[in-house]
Amino acid sequence: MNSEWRQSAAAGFAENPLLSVSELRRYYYARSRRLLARRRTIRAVDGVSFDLYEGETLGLVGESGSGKSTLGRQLVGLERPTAGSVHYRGHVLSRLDARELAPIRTDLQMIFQDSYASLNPRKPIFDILSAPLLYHGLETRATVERRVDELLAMVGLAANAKARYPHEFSGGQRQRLGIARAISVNPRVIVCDEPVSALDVSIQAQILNLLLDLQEELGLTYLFIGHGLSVVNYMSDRIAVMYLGKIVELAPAEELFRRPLHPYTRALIAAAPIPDPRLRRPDVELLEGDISSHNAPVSGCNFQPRCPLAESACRSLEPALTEVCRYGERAVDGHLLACPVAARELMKKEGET
Amino acid sequence: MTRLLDVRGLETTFSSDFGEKTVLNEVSFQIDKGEILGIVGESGSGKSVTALSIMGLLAANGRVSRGEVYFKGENLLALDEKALDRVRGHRLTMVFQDALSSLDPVFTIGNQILESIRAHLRLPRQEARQRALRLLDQVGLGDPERIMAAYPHTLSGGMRQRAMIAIALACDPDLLIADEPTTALDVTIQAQIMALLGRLRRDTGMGLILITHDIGLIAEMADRVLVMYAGQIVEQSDVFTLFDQPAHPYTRALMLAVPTLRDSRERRLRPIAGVVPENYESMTGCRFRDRCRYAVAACAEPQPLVPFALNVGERLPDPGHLVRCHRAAAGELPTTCSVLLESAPESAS
Ligand SMILES: Nc1ncnc2c1ncn2[C@@H]1O[C@H](COP(=O)(O)OP(=O)(O)O)[C@@H](O)[C@H]1O
Ligand SMILES: Nc1ncnc2c1ncn2[C@@H]1O[C@H](COP(=O)(O)OP(=O)(O)O)[C@@H](O)[C@H]1O
Ligand code: SF4
Ligand SMILES: [Mg+2]
Ligand SMILES: [Mg+2]
Repeated sequence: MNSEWRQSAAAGFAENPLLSVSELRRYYYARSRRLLARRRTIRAVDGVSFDLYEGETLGLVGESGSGKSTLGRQLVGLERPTAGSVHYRGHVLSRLDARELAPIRTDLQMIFQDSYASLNPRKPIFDILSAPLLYHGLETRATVERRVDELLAMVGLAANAKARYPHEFSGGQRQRLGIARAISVNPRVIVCDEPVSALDVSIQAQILNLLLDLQEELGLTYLFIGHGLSVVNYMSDRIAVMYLGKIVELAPAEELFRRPLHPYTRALIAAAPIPDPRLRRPDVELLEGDISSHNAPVSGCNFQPRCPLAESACRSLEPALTEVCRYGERAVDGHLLACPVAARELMKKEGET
Repeated sequence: MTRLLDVRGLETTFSSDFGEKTVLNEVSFQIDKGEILGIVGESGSGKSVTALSIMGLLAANGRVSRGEVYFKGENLLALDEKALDRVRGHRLTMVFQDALSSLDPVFTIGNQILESIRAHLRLPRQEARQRALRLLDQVGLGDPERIMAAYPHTLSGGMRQRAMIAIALACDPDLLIADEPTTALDVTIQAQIMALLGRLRRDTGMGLILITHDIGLIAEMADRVLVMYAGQIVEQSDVFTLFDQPAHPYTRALMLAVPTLRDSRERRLRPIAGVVPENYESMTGCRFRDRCRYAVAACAEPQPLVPFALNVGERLPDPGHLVRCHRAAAGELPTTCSVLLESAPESAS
């Protein structure tokens, strides 16, 4: 396990980020059949900035609909942002045309929750895996078969998988195929969008460990999207918490669980079941309603309608994601928070002790 | 005292062009008023078939081929469809994994919830409506007035799931069977619904069968637990015993395979190798043996569900603790302490 890396990740990053997201926005102008969603602008990603460092895993959590997948798609260049930018190795992705983007796109890959939908059902596995290798000129007709064998072995599938079709595989095996396809083009960054949410627990562990092994072996950088906190905790060095298109808190994983500051992060952690019946909590404070019953307010903090700490200022001032300052105690680098009320309470508490 | 639900030796068989297969064997358990029974296991282990067999809602090619299901002393399997309908949907209700298929597309949520209330509780119109609104609010559906007027397909999956839970609770059932009720929902919504179910069992004495693949949810909610694997109960006990002293290798493997928030991040998860066998009906011995790290030749013999009757350290055996593994029952497996050690960081691998 890459424990040294984890330490250095927690201690802050000296080096330059591999990928930078700055003030990224992606709006959809949708007319939906869904209730409560008449014609309107959906600010799916609404001003998100963060850096991704080589070799790390940045976890991304938040309720469904908070914009995680949309953010992931912008990151690998699958969609163009409405505003803001993704910087990767000196390029701004959205400024590149298709031809310029092509060589970079292989560096940035994505794995989906439903890998079945992303595998062409009419093609055998050999065709599915060899096509991108040939297209990008990474292999020739003569060498491609060896590479396909190698990829299948890397993800723990037998070589005879080549002749079979996607529907012949179980959910866990399909996810392995999705991973094989993603790593085939030698990417440096992989966005993993809820890769184990649809799998049984025993299979989940197989896939999570495979992703960790591949990361170590190939030096990959992950953006790991999940809606289960414990899975994201297992995978990530740092974790970003998203709510209605914005990052509300970002911190090294351990720090986030030891000292969650944003009221939304706290609610998420309180809601996660604890697998020990002796630690049952009689009455935890629960969030009311859900994200779909609370559209982003016109001004102020997006979380304010559900927030237990909300003050009147929260309705007008939009909180910025800023570094948490502490009195006394060693400051923890890289704990970012977008809630002035929680930040003030922390200062007060630490000032007293 | 009659039990709220007493299931005895349930066996369920499906027929197809290839013949018959018995997907459920020897399923027996009891629930009392106000009790929460958790059923946990991976997909394909027979959890839904157990629930559907109790409810009399099996697919047309399925039938209960053996056993009895007593609900408040009455054998449900002996009732005709009409008598069964008086129980079902009123004293005994179920929430399904897939809400869309169990809601009626041509009626609004309001129609469906009011129908259930009025048919069974005989409340006056206005009171029925108040009750419906309150329930929708309790399952976390903001703006209940609007939800009442909505048709199922206009709601998101999570909203539909919650509407179905409200409908199932509408007429104060004595027993609710909830089959993965929150699997598709966010943790915050899951927590709201679990809090509501916990409150109902406390306040109204409702019994609950909670079917889930999430061992964390079991720890949080259940009083007693059935662990199912390949159509059989492999372990059965109260929830504290199960977590203090998991006896069956599958139960232990399940616990080691999931990450938790409290874990040291250096712990490596231990996946269970392989997958649930596909045609387990024909297996005579232990059905877990291909995946079990403790398997020996004798595991190919039939494994009955037997009491786990060993003292472990200071701990006396709990008479209700049953396990389907001869090695566990004979005390041949490492004790819990070493299960925890196994989850410590590995030096090799
Ligand atoms: N292609 C699209 N067109 C219209 N709306 C979209 C589209 N993709 C996502 N959205 C909306 O953007 C919001 C964020 O969605 P998504 O990124 O999928 O969230 P998450 O992955 O966190 O569940 C949701 O309200 C969703 O309905
Ligand atoms: N209608 C059916 N016809 C034939 N086999 C079925 C049918 N429904 C379920 N089964 C089989 O019964 C077994 C148990 O399934 P199920 O109870 O749905 O599992 P779980 O709910 O634990 O995921 C599986 O092997 C499944 O294939
Ligand atoms: S009977 Fe044998 S194979 Fe089955 S769980 Fe026990 S030790 Fe493992
Ligand atoms: Mg998503
Ligand atoms: Mg099921």
